[in-house]
Amino acid sequence: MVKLLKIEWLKIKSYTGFILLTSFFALGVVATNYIVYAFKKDVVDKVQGSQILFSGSPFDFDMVWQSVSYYSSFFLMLPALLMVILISNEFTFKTHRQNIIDGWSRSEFLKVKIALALLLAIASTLVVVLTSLIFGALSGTSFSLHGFQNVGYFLLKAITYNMVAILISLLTKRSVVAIAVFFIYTIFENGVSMMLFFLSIKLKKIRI
Amino acid sequence: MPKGSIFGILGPNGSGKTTLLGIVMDVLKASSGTFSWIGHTNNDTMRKQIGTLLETPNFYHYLSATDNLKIAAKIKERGEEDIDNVLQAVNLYQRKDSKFNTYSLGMKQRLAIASALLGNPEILVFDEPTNGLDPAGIAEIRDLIKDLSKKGKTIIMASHILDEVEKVCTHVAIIQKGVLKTVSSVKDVMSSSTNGNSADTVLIELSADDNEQLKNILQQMSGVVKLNSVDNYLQVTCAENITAAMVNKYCFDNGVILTKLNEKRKSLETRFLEITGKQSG
Repeated sequence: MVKLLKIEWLKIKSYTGFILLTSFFALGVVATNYIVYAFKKDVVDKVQGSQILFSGSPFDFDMVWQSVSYYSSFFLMLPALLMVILISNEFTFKTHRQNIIDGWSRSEFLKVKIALALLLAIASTLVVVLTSLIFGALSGTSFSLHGFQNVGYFLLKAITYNMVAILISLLTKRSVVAIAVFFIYTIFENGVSMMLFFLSIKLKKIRI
Repeated sequence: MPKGSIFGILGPNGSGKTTLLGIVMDVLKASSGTFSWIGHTNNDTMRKQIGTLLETPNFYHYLSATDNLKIAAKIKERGEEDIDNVLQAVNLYQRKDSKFNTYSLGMKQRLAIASALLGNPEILVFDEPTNGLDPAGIAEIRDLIKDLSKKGKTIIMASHILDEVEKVCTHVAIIQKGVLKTVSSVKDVMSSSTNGNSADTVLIELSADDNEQLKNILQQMSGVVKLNSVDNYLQVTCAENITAAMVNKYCFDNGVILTKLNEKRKSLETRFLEITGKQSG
């Protein structure tokens, strides 16, 4: 598998789309968290009455894992988009055929893409862990792994996003169609999760 | 398919040449039937030892020729030291660091041939290798193929360009609508005949000032099999031992001076049309 991943790395390492999207992701994660952090420090902590915006300190240890995971999760669109582009590229350039002609089996072609998606999800999660550590340290609270499971949820979301991206691009085989379907899917998915969220609140109220 | 031969696969457009090669290279699934490479049916490892150019050159547009060939070499599990050699063989060495999407069609085709040559494989599969090349390029590639054949490589080549097959190949298979029509050496295909009449015939086109008179005279000549009036000349089918000179002399002796005399060599084209024409006709 390492051999296959090395070949995959040759394909993407000098691809502009790969460099752009991964750096946008890393930059976006750090920047968004910094915006919230600065807003908390410079506005919420100083202006009377604005405390209702935040209950507690989002970047203190314990809370930092959940906060950073949550704010960063909006950028998971980018690695998934990268997966869509990488796979539809293979179809556009017909290199999926060429890879097989050159001696890969069909399952090797698929396996390495799934492995790439997992690696990308793990790399995204590492960015989140690093960002959490930085902002946690900035907040001046002592280190704690309590609440670290939220990073696990982030990893799960990253994996599922990338897998859905693979599925959609394999089914549509065209980058434009795949990207459109993927965005419609994410909007739909967010809508459903919002609905479930409000439904659960309502159900809790009824139980009370 | 004999080892060391250049095996041509001929057929009209849409006859299944590329489909056939696609099946043996496992990019397409056969609805029935089996195949084997040098006795092996497991072909994942087999494919790594075969150099293939199938239909269009397929490369990563954003990568340079060298980077593209690196990927191909890695997949084939070959070393990278070959890359410069194959690029030189197809005259692309000067442009090796240019991106693939800056290449012209002919250069793309050359790169695809270079990719097939990677790792010096014993078997080469070319699907219309001269597609998109300029005349000089076509001649170069033909020489390259002949060269490879001399080195003992087995080459399978699909083409609809009859001239190319005639000039390059030692063996030929003709397919039409997915049906194998004939398969043997080029020499045999050219000399044999399908419809049984007159195995080896000579076709001569000739005309005189008075074609009617010419026709009457020729009908009495021994060895003439068939006479056809075509536009303003006569098409004469003669037995093998008749030459154009003999016809000329015969006519002159009988008082007819020919204004046109043209001996048609029976080419692969006529054979091809005979063989494929039977099915559609």
